[in-house]
Amino acid sequence: MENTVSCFGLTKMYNSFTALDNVSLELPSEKIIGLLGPNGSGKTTFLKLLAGVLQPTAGSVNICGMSPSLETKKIVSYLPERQYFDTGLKVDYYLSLFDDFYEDFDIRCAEGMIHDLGVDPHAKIRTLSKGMIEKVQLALVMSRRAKLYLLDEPLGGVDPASREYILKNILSGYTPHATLIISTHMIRDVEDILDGYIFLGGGHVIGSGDAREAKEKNGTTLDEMFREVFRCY
Amino acid sequence: MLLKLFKYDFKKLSRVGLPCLIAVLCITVIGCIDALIFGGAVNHDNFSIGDGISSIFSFLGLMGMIMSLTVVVAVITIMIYVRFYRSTATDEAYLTMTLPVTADQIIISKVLSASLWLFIISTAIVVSAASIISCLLFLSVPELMEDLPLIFTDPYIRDLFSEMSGGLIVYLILALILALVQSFETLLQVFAAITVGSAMTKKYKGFASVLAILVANFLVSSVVSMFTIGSILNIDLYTSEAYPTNDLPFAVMNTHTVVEICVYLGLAVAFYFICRHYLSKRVNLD
Repeated sequence: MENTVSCFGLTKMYNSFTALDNVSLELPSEKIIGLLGPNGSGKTTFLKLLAGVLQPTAGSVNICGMSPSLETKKIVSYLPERQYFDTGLKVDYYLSLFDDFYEDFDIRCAEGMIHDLGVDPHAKIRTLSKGMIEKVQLALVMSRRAKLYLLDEPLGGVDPASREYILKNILSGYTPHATLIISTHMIRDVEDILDGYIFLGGGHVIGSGDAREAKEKNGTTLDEMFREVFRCY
Repeated sequence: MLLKLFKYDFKKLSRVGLPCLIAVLCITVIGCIDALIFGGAVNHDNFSIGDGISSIFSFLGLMGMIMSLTVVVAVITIMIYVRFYRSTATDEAYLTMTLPVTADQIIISKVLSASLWLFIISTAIVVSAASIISCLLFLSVPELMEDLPLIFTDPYIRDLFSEMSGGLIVYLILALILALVQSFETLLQVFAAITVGSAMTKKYKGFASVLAILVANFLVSSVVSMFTIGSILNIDLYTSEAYPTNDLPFAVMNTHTVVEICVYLGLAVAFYFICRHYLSKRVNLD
């Protein structure tokens, strides 16, 4: 099985602060990977480096054998923690923008998801609630048939019913042959869908592996493993 | 991709551009009505209080129109820079930087869309000014336009410009090129200042961007002055002698215009590469 993501000695520093320190990983394709760690552990920085939004201070990262560049942006679908819409514009502006720029964007799928959310495509973004905006953003991201999905805290700040809806859409929208990396604190909500996990702490990889094997070996849940590993962080 | 990017950038700016165009239209209509009602020739032999009141209203109306048009230009210009800042230095940049486009395409698209809107608004303002002036002079617009070429066929003015190397046509072409290059340079200067300013700090990106714009303005003024100091002080740079004030050598005006074009072009290229470097490598997203 080919590795979708490979990184060697990946380091990112912001002035004197080291957000990621010498991270080396290989993530295979066709897996859902949980990127788990406490606040400030480097999860968002790692995802931004994969998305090509940040440049590494040292080391390298490859996506399907390519460094983050124009070509990787065509195959990577990134959902940041923040919402990136211009609130004065309408939902259909972004539908047509995604359709125009991304060859792998399935506009019918996106329109269907937005319809299921009860959102009027002609509505301005500012008329939607915060949770609804996040769901629209997720619908756009998951409607791409990308090779790598990067979801940064997709469950943060939403109610439990919405979390279930989001997870259902992630699984239904996700291209089976792709790799999906979810960064989250809500481990209990996602651990049943995870194939693999990465524990990130203080910019270092504390642990990683197959989620099911780890749970069977330790006889616990990923959530309990996380609490045990990060008790002192 | 560049055309697509341009289409969306142009559409985004139309949220400010279209209201500005409507504002110019309203100002034109109000200005023309004011000019037709309160404008016109004053009888100095038989000056009445009514004439005085009309003159005051006409003057105030004209001042109001000029200020309003100035505000429109200021609004569209500021909003162009605010839009660039939002799409490259705030959370909107997460979308801008993950689209499958290069930094070159982002910069060129934003410069072209901004330039096109500035051209549209400027043209509307020129038409507006011509309409208001013609109403003031009780002439119709076509008659005003008929009179305008008289300026260029006037024997004294033709002699004046014929002294310049290449003649009048060359000067007009060079002036047009200078205006175009200067407008691109100004846009690139501010865009570069915004990218540099917002890369310097995490919390006060807006403030840092404004500061960077002021610094860039100062630097550009200094550089341009250095190269054009001769014509400003009326001194021939080659002989260090002052030109006689009644006999300015128009022959050197074209040369100075070419020098200015080169200076602004050089600055535009420099700011382009600064902007590109920061957008490619140093985007500061929280």
